[in-house]
Amino acid sequence: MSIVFIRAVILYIIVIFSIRLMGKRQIGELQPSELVITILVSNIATLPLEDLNIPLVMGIIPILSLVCFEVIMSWLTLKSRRLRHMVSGFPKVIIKDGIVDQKVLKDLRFSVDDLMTALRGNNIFDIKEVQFAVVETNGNVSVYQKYEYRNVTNGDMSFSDKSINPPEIIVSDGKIVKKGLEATGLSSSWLRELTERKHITTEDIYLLTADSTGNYNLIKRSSSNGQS
Amino acid sequence: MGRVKISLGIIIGIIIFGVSGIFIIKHETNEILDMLNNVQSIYSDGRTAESAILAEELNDKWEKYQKIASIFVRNEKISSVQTSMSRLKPLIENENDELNAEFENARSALEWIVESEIPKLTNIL
Repeated sequence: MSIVFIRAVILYIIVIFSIRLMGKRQIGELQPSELVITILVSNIATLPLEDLNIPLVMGIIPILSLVCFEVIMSWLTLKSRRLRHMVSGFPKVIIKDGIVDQKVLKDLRFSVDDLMTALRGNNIFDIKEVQFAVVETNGNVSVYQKYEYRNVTNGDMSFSDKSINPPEIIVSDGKIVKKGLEATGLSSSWLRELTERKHITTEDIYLLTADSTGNYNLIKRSSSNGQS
Repeated sequence: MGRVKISLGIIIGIIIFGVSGIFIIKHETNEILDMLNNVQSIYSDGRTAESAILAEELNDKWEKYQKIASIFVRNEKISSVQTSMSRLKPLIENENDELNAEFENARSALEWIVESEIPKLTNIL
């Protein structure tokens, strides 16, 4: 039993390291090859766990090899457009000028139901709203709406304001997040002034977020809520 | 780029580990095979007591080697050699008829360990 446990710990570390090495993509954003590698890694990891007759290296070596090949291949595809197209394929246009390309849909084995599901996933429930749609290499469908169906933007309304970055976490669970302060350009004296004004210490703060203009949202450790 | 460098480092490490594993297994297994042949030839000369002592030395050598081999080789391959090795000394002492068959068993099991670790086309496929 202890051998299985120790093997599980080692494989856990190896698998976590491998996944970190592969990068931060979400499952839904994986390229086909990355998805296959992820499934393979999880499958191979179980073999030396189930069968103690198999040396642990027989599990570790293929896992690390597959992940390393994937990292190197993704780097090579970054450098070579031709290789990228060979490995990942091309995005396919399925709707152009509002007209569905049925031949491409047939080639992709994409049924009408699949198309409608993908459109609904993009918050479009009527196909006549679509000007242009593409099936990306990871299988996602990207949709560009016709002009009359697009949302009105601030630009359309000629509203002008300076674009600022979203708020950062300044205090989390009573602890100051220095990265947040640096990102917003706020100083620790700003935080000191705020806590003095509120008659609290940083230990009393559950969450404090702020943007570069100094707008903040403060939630105390107790149930009472602050305002920006 | 950092990830690519780590990946290249790991692949180089794996290649070094694999190649050194083949060399270790080949070298150690050949040494044990030589000892096995020596035991057999001494026994064939009728020097039973001397061959029994050598068989014990062979067993000790195998015990040390199998710990290293278990890193690279599946346990069932090792255990088949282990069975033959542990039977050699008692069979020599009793001058049993099955001894020659056991020598052959041990030899073929050891050769199989080396054969299966060398990346030949037949092994790969």
